[in-house]
Amino acid sequence: MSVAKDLVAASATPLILSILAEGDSYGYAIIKRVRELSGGQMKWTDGMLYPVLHRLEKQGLVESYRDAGETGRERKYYRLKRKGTKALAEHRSQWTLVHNTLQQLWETKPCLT
Amino acid sequence: MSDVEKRIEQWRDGLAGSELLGGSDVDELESHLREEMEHLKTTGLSDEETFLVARHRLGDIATLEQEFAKVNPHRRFARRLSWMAIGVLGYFLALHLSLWATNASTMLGYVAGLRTPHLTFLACVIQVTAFAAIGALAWWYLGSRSTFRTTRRMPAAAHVSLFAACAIVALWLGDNFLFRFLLIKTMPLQEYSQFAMASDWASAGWGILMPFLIAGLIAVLALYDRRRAEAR
Repeated sequence: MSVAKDLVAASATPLILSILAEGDSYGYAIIKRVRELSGGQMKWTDGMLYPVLHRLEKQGLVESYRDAGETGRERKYYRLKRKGTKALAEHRSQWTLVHNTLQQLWETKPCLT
Repeated sequence: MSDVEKRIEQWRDGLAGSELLGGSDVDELESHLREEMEHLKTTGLSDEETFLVARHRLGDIATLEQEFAKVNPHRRFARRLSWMAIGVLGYFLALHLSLWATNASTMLGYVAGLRTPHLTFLACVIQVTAFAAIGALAWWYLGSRSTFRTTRRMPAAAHVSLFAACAIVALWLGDNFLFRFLLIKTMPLQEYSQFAMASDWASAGWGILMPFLIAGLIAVLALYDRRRAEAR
């Protein structure tokens, strides 16, 4: 099973914000994390991540800095800002609401006979 | 350079050629590509194969452009505007450099005993040759470097433009002070009026020819650009 394109696009922002909430990260590592978490079933076209990251940066939710990681290769890292944390909380409550609503409909109904 | 490095450079060039991606965007995408390739190498793929898979996963240029355009909708316009400004500045710089060469050689020719119409003929030949030579040099310089390296320096374009504008003014002043002033002072009136008349004829011819030359150049550039786009 793979996730529909629209849903992948819609979940990109909360996913990125949540991954950055775990700690600063860079493009490739974010993609890898999404792949791991979804068992490879959420397929992103890797290049699409960057415009999303840049938009979040423009909106002031994340900020970027250059740093040579443990391998000595310089990368562009992204860090969650305070506004980003707030936006993440907002996303989270919305997604939880959707999830709970669907969950109630899909729960197996108790049978009395 | 290995084959894979060449292919990476080609791919990067394709991205850098886009008006919608900035230098840092290309850097970021390249860094991603290389990391993916390194990861894929551990699975036993060849260098060539890792490149193909990593490139595919990043997505094709058209799709990337579309997504990047959503973030920076004004970038295309800004890029075009800056190229136009560079073109205008470049034209004036070339014009004034060729004027320098023309007036300097006219001075030398006069001192060496040349007179109108030979002197005017010399001036015309020098002007056209110098202008064409500067154009050819610029063409060769830009053509010999990859698009990536050229556009990567776009942030420095403002400094370059400022420098070019100053150079134009300096050349212009220097030209008038050094050569034209000296020419007026040293030539007898009769000689000077003949020379001025011939020069005016030449510049009228140049003025008539110029729009056609520019139109021709634009046509050649458009053709070149289309070929490149097809090659992509």
